[in-house]
Amino acid sequence: MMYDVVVIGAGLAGFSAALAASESGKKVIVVAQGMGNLYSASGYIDFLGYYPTTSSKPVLNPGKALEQLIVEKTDHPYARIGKENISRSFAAFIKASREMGLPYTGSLETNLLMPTAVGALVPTTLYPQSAEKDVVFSREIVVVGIKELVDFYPAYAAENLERQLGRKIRSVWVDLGLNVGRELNSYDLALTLEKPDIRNRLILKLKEADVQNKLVLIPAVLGVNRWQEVISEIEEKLQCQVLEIPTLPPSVMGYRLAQSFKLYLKKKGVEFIIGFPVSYVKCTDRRCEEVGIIANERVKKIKGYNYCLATGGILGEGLKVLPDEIKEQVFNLPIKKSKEQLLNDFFNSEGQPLSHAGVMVNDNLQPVNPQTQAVILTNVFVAGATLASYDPFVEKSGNGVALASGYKAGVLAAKGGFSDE
Amino acid sequence: MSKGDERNLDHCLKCSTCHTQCPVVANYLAFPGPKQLGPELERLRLARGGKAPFEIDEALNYCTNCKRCDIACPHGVKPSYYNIKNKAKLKGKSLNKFRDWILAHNVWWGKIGSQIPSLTNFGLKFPLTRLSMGLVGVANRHFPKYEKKKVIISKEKKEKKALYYAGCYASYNEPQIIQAAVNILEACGYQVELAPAACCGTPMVSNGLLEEAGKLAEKNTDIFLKYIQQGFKIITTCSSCGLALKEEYAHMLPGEKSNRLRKNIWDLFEILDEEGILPFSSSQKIAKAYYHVPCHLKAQGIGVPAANLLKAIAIKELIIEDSYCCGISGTYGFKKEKYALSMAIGGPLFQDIKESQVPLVITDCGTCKLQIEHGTGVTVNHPAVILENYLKKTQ
Repeated sequence: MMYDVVVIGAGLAGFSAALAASESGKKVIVVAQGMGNLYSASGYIDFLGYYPTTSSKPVLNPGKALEQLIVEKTDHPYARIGKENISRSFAAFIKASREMGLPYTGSLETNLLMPTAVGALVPTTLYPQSAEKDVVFSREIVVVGIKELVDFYPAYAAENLERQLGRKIRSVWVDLGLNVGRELNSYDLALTLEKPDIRNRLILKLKEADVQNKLVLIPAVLGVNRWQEVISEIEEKLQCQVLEIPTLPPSVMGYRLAQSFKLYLKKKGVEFIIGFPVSYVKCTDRRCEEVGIIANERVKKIKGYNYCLATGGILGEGLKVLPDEIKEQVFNLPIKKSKEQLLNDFFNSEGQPLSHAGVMVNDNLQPVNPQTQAVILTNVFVAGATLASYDPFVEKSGNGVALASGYKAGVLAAKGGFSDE
Repeated sequence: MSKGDERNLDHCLKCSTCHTQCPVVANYLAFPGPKQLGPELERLRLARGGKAPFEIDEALNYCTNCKRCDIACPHGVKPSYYNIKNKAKLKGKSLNKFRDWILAHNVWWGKIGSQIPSLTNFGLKFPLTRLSMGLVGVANRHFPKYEKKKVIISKEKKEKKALYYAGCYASYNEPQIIQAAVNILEACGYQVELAPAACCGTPMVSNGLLEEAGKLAEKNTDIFLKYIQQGFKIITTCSSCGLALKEEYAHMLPGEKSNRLRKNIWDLFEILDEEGILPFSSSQKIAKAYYHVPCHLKAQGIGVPAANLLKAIAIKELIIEDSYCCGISGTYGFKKEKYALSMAIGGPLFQDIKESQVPLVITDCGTCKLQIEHGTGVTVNHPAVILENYLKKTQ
């Protein structure tokens, strides 16, 4: 079987590429080593949180900062993608999110500050509609911890928020009285809170904590699939506002996005083979002819006209760091890297040079040789954390780059017929 | 155990993606899940010299071995490998052990039961039989009917040779699958022989009888390798048998033999896809059907070759769904204490099937079929049985 577009990787970049390609009616398959890291992510899509990267003040208008970045950093993935394509991907994602029953909202002109599990405030651009709540301007905030949940300490988060917002923030513990006999993570609790009796127990405990007219910050455990129902029930019954805070993995907010997105793509006719890395490629004449997974000592070949490479960076295992080199795992593409890879100060505010390592591309997102700029494979389009020349951790741009580059890669792969430029 | 599998452990970042994909976790909160039972506890077990099982290891009895955790892992760890290994070390209650032993040897009951099917089927409905099964911990649910049918095979010698391995379900409960597979293989130009091997060992593996399963695997491997040497390809139509021969055997008997074996194991529709042979004509398509992807097919990494064929040839509107586990997991759903859980796991699948208002469900796995029919009342068929009707009439 011949596919129009073969997407390698099942994270946000891969899904975004599959979305774009399927929108133009193409036959698409997603092949990936496993389920992407989207499952353990926050579910927020940050486009540009800090720019210039040395700035300690969060970007308030990411659209404007992006325009500046595109002019100043011509190698940055955003410069390769272009402002117009960034906006297109943004709109396409919002539309798709509504159709998949997980409506997202936000604007490229505004970053919202969202609290993390330790009470840091992170600038983000796209978030679930249920999270459209402003921590900075809320009159009264209560941070709620759930006794049964591991790894969330309300007093700790509250104290950090107090320092940043300059006002008193209350924290409370609630005990749901679940005697399960083991530690519960956020996914477990989210399953539990879909049950009406447990949900009522939470509502009762929150009532005792006096949350009326307040903004309740609570770890994101309010239902795996029926969170909209759970959140609005709490808000209506207690006359309060509820904002979920993304937790440590398994992150329910990441799960909701990953699972809904995948189901949505399936309904659009996108095929998936997940659980096996692409470990065979055949390329001739600067074109990829076929790829394959190796299952049971045998190659299963997957053929397509065009390919999107979205296998991630170092964490996603798209890039592998060896003592003397960094390798791109599927096509063995050359890696652009700086001489010094790691600075001793791990939390250096300017970031680690290693973060900039990756595959260099041209404006068509085709992989190029870092020295000569010559296109290496004309029908391969690279997206997401595999890309070189940016630091997603310091800029807070990881998911934004993934979404926008994935979308552009998908559009170009669907169009096809490319030679060099 | 091969060293490769132990090294695999270190790739676990504890991201818990497997935990969110476990059908048991989603329906039974006390179950610690694949991450904890697998790589997390295995580190401790190894640190303690791997002798006595931990108390928490009892929970391994609730692992269905569906392998959804294995393919979920973003980093290539296979929690089910550790679960199987450690389940075999459990002592357990003697009555459940006896029941598990009975269920693990379904091949014997199949052999005996299919001799005089009418008597067996009557006997299975008999109240005293149900009562005594209940006493040893077998769930009070419908058992598959036993059936015996002579398979007609062409004697003609051909260059392409297939050894068809039907597995227990097709052999004793639905021999139509065997005839359909033989007819399809013959239409593809194969000389077909039926494999003289017995059970693949999956029920033993799932019930913790790893040592016995290993011996069986060794015996079967030798039989298969003889045929492979003569140029036969081994063809399966049961997803679980296929996965056992491809993957489980490689874990139990790591080495050159099992590698040579797994290279020659093919799902019937996988080989049709690989060879690009389509001996079908697409007349009079069925309007609508639902294809349930068995977990053990998903774990083979071959995509959905049967569904793709069905879509191209036999079904106008085919819903292909791999999001759900049916919950039966071979013998799991036949155990009294797990029956309700098994039905709860299958719940979302049953609901999806009912909501799609299909008159027909198609799936490759025999026990998935039993569970889906039990949970929905909709007829379920094997893809080979459907596609056989579309073979080109030649000669």
